[in-house]
Amino acid sequence: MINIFLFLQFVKYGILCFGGGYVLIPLLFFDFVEKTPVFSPDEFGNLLVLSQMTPGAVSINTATYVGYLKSTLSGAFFASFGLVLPSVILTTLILNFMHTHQQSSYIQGFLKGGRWISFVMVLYAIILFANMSVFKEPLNFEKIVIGLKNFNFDWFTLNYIEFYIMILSIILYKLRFSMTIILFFSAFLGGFISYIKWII
Amino acid sequence: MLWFIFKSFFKISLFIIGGGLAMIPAIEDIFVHKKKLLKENDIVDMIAITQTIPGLIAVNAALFIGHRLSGWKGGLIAVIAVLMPSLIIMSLIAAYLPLLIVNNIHFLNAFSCIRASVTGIFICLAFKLRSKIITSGFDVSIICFLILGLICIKNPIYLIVISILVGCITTYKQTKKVENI
Repeated sequence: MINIFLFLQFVKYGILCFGGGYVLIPLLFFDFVEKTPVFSPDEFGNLLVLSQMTPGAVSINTATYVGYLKSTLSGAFFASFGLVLPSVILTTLILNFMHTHQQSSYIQGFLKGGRWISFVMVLYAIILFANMSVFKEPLNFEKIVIGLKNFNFDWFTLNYIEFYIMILSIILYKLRFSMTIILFFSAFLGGFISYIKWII
Repeated sequence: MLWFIFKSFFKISLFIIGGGLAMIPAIEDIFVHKKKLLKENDIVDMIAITQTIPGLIAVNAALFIGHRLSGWKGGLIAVIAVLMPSLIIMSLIAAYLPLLIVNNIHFLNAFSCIRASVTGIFICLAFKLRSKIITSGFDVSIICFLILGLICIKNPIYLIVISILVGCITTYKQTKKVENI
């Protein structure tokens, strides 16, 4: 029974997934961290990082992991199958009717809306990840509004090591290093710094 | 042929780290340059389609190439081949990771630093996307509205529906204007 629920839930994510797997991050966050706390925010971040660092498509990795935690191997299979199914159906449909669809204004509008929401989801994913790492406490929207009214900036406290690593990885990304190298490098750096601190 | 499709997509999915976008150059390398089964044009088509159709980039790309090479069966087999390495590896990790993380401070700090670097990479990604998506003042205002809504309402599904409706309405109005002139 839990497998069927899992399957349907991931079919829903598969339909809502515009422009790649990044859209999945806020969706999963609201469902698995805020509504029914299966993970703590940090665990959720670790899960996403792991699926980024292992081979294969990021979203399928995430789906497999969540499915496995919910009901072992069968759950893993059903979750990733559910995630893939809508895009398989949609893409085969569009491959068969491609020429009629390209000019249709409804499809154009649909895609435009999809692009907006995928950009918003990437922005929200940035906020989520920053809350988990760069800021000591998660940002609170009301506190920000009050702080901006009074022109003070005591609504955030930075973790300095994480902040510098973020800046460093932006620079490395601009220098066209591959994502995997940057991630492994920052993991190594973080572990190294914490070990040195521990010794001192 | 089917076995060749399965083998090459399994290999691509197993060795490319970093998701669907990173797979596209590898697909081009194998199918266009090495085996000469497809032309450059096909890859251009593939990129256009995978970027516009809702769904996962890796799955859409695999389906498209498999479909071009040998119809329905090819597409399905390519998708299965892309799925399998993720399923196997992530199931293993999910089964054994709870043993790996034993409240080790250094391990946790390392993970926190990776999260920070993912933040940085996402910021770069947003900058890259910005030039493609934001072309007018209206785009900026709707994106501000959507992100405020996401923070306040905390239910992405409503916002996805709103965004698509607004997109449909605005393009409908634009095409009407063009027709009237």
